[in-house]
Amino acid sequence: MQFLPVFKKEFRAYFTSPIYYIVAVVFLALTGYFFVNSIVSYSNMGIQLSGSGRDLSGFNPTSMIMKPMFNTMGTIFILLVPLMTMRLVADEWKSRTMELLMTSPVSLSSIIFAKYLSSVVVYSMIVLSTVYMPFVIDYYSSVAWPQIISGYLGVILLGAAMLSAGLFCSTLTDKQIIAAVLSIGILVIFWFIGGVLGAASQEVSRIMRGLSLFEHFNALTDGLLDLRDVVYLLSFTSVALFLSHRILDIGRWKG
Amino acid sequence: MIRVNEVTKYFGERVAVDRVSFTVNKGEIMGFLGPNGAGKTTTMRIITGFMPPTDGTVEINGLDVFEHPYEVKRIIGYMPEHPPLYLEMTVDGYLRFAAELRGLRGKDVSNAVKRVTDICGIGDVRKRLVGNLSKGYRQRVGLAQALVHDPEVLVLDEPTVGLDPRQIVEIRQLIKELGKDKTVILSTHILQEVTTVCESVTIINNGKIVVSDRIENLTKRFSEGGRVFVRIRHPENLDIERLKDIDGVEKVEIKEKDQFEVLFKKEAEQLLEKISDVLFDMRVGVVEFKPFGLTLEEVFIKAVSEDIRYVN
Repeated sequence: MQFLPVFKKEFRAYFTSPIYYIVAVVFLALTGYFFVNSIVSYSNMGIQLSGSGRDLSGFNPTSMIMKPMFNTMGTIFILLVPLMTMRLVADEWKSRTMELLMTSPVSLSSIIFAKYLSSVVVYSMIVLSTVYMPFVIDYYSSVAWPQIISGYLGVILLGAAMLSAGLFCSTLTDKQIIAAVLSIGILVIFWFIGGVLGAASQEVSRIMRGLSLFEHFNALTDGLLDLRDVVYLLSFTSVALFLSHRILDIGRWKG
Repeated sequence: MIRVNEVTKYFGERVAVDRVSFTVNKGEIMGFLGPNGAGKTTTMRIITGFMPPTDGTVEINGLDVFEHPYEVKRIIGYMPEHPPLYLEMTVDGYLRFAAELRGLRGKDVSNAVKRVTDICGIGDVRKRLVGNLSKGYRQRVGLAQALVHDPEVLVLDEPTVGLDPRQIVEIRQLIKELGKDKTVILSTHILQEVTTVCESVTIINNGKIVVSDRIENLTKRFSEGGRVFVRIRHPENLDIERLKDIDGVEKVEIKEKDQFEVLFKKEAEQLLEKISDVLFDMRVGVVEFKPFGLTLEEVFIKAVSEDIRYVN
């Protein structure tokens, strides 16, 4: 109910605030730089390996250039996603506009989902503006398109999960900077959780890896479209959105 | 119509609103008075469905606010104490958003925005960013937001704060106009505002309703006595004993040589007539004769300082 006005407002807000442009420019500049870098090192390696007689089955532009690019995108977004979500709810508390939203005939879930979806849309716009990369490679060489598509799906699902965590942090406070720092913390933990405890015990390390955003994302960028990874990323998102809903509802009781 | 029934709100251990009940009818403007922190804003937030009460119910036009939130919120216009403004939006964009949020679509949105910008006098700033407006303009944008969907019920939390005297008069006039066919709750701490705009008044103190009645009944009921101020030209002719002998007169207080006040128990027109007759008879040359009832201000001070409860 009344989902659309809130979505439109949030979507426009991204384009009237300078933060979104800065995030987009920084992202495109960094990925562009890494893209050129990996093409150069790929051709260097190609020269070294040619005639060496080694097995070159894994040596193709998709796994040597695009797969690392997807990982780079994910890592950059750990720092950029919090900047995209920090104001979503915190600002409504701060400017007291929450009173307008909550006394209008709009359900809490529509408010949250409209805000969330607007962030997913602008995030996807940034991510998809890098599709020039596989096309450039495909022009000079060739890429495995199914793996590229699976990789982009991975980046967008990963973003969906990270944005939901960012939104959740934004419901907790009325200060944007606190929301941003908190979500960077949460994202870093969920990114590295699989690697850190590798040595503790087999069982623990298996559970930790199961919780890691990176592990599930990594499988998708390999072109392995496994339903378990998709389900994990979507569940992560649902839990974060559900918790955001609870926090807003509690905030209403406290006033 | 608004019916608040035994509403209680706890914040942790602290009770902010304690079994508050009152009714505001259609076409009535109710002044909601109380010292700071008395529970005015909390009560209004409960009425508008922003927060649920710990106990009790609120009905708007017979519908319970928490059982039918969407129906009820559609017919309420709420202007919080701090206008809920998006500073990075234009006035036009903001009001369009507020209208769409209340369910208006298409052409209705533009018409509604045009209508409220006209009646709130913000037509000349429609293209400007809300963040660049002065406090008075922001206040009026906040009011426009509450009116944009032409609600049947209006809840206004201190709407005239921050306006200049001319704007205050305009806004009061506007509220009075709106009150003719709407149900209005107007919270304020300016007592004069209540006497000029409202038909009835509810005074809340420490979360409890202490007074709730129509204004004319209130001043009547609270005046345990009255007084009349007199200034005369010929004090030498004055015989105070003769005034004191009038039945009902309690005391005569001399202020200056030529000024005094006569205090009496029950305010009665016959008594005033008798006093003026006696003064005329003494030929003291009355130049001023000013009777006083109890003003709302005195009622308010009495209500929040003494432990009285008077609910009609």
